[in-house]
Amino acid sequence: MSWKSVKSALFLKNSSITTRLTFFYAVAGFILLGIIALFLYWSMLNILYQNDSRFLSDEIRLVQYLLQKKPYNKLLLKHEINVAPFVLRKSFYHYFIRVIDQNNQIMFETPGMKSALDGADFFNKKKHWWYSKKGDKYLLMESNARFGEKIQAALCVSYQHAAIEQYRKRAVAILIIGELFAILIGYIIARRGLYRLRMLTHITRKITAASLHQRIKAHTWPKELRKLGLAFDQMLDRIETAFSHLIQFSDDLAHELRTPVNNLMGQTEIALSCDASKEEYQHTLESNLEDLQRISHIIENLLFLARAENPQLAINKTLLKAHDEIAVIIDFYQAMADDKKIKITCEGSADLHANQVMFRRMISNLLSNALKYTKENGLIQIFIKETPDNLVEIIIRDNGIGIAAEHLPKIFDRFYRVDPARSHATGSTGLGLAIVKSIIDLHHATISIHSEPEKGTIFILLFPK
Amino acid sequence: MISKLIFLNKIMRLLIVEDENKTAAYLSKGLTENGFIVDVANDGEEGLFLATNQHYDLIILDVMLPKVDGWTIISEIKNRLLSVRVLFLTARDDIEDRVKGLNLGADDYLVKPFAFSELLARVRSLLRRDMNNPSLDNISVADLKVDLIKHKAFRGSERLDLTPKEFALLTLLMQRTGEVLSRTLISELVWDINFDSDTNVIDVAIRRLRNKIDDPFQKKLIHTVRGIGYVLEER
Repeated sequence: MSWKSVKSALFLKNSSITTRLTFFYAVAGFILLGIIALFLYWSMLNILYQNDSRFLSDEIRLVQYLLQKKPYNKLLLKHEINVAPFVLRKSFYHYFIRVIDQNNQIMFETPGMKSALDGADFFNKKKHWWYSKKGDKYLLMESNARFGEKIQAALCVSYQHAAIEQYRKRAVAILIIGELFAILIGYIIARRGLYRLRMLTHITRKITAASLHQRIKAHTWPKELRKLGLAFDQMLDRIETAFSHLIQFSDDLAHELRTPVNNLMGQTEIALSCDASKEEYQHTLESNLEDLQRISHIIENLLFLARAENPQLAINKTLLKAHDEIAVIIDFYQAMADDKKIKITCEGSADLHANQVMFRRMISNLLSNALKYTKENGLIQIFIKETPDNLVEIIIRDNGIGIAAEHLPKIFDRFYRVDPARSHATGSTGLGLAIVKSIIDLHHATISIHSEPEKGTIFILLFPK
Repeated sequence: MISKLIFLNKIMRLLIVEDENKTAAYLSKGLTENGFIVDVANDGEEGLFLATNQHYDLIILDVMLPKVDGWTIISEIKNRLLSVRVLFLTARDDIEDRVKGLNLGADDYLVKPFAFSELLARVRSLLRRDMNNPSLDNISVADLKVDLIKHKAFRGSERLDLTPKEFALLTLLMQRTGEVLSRTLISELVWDINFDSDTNVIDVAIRRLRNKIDDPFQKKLIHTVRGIGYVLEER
């Protein structure tokens, strides 16, 4: 039977850790107490046996001594063999002794020995146990005396049974009581040990969207749970950040949409409330169309971002010549650059695997951004090169107005604008760089930004080949 | 309107299969006003019936339809080897859907939400494919003339100095004279930019083109249609 089936048989598979720990403590306690009880039992039996042996040996040695000199001191022998056993019987040594001469004739014998030990065989002079027909247990021993006589002695050890039986009962009682203690203590230890875990559950259960600021604060917890608690806190940090981003995002989105929708409502209301000329209606509708296009534009960008966040989105990558792709985009913006007398250059070349539309869109957004924030007669430079660690580096550098350091960490956030007042004038949705970031993420690429106000901005993109 | 009918030389019949009533209504109105004869089917079953029992030049098909979906209709049309062209509308900007539609034999697609001018331009360009459009060497509108072989443009007798992209832009506007072209369509056809981009660029490019072909002359040919795009025509 495998451990798994044992576990499932014991219903441990889905039980609580407390139950499991208690169970294991109980098993450990049982094994430990059992070993101790068995050892003590075995020791006791051993001691009893040794005592009995020593007693019989002493008796035999005494008789041997008495048989050393002829003529035998019959008085003493008789006393030892006939009287002493009866005296000692009172102190629980119930024994018999006899002396047999060379002709196998019994010389001396404790009265009653013959009937008590009927059929007993003292073979080979070895100590051994023997059970009489009555069911008594004897320890038998045989030894020679000086002139060839044999001394046979038998000690009845049946009385020990009672003591042993009593001992056994106590051992079982101790085992049961000890086991109950083991279960109780095990349960208490497990409960105490898992107290922090319950606390974690308790705190976690209480965390809602409104109380994301709560922390476990596990710094003083036991080592094993401290890591878990701290990891929980870190997770909460991340969730809180993401959540506040989300709130900020909804807030911004509502704001972004409110402006054009308010315009639409206002203009339409006015157009309907007074008798306007055909031209005025047309003008209102044209203006409405512009606001609607703005909304549609925002929706398209948001849809792109939402799809890009789908982890299952598989993008179709092809081998692109970075220089050619960038040249297409530069070509697109050329009229605008010429208009502002901005020069755009692109140096270097490299091949990389990317989704063509996304790559172009990313470059387009970055270039559009650079053009927006570069003054007349400015310069936008693009450098493409392969790095030694097999990446493609694309640097887009302008000498425009730059971005203050405080804005840099948020520059890729949705709807984040360095200068909110400018947004409508430039027609930006505030999503351009967020889209750049999502395209970068989809390609497992990286983007970093370095900027200094009045000096310019550098975007560094690193693409895997 | 009449000029547009003449441009197509014959009256074209269109079928719109669209379950959203408001969308179907404005598409039908817009296309009728542009000189097409339009039928509307409000679900897939009706759409399939009309498409297979009537003659149409083009079907505008929403793919998410009740009863019978757009894919089934496209497959059925292609199975019956009908010569009708199919332009499908997909709400989800999903590459998979576009590929699926084109694989089934559709001719073009538009992603919702789209501008009506965008749809009109695509409908016209699909129908133009049907007619054996003589590839012109020269196009002229009023006194503006482009020579597509020599890559030269003239206003009257005066040679216009255009960059290659300006020439391409002018050619597009002249080939589609009388048609309002959206900024999105212009960026797609002239610069091959087929994603949502900074459309201010088109305004700048048109302004620079106007500087060269319109500003020095009395008669203006490029006109802005506010909210929609640009058109080159003699007014």
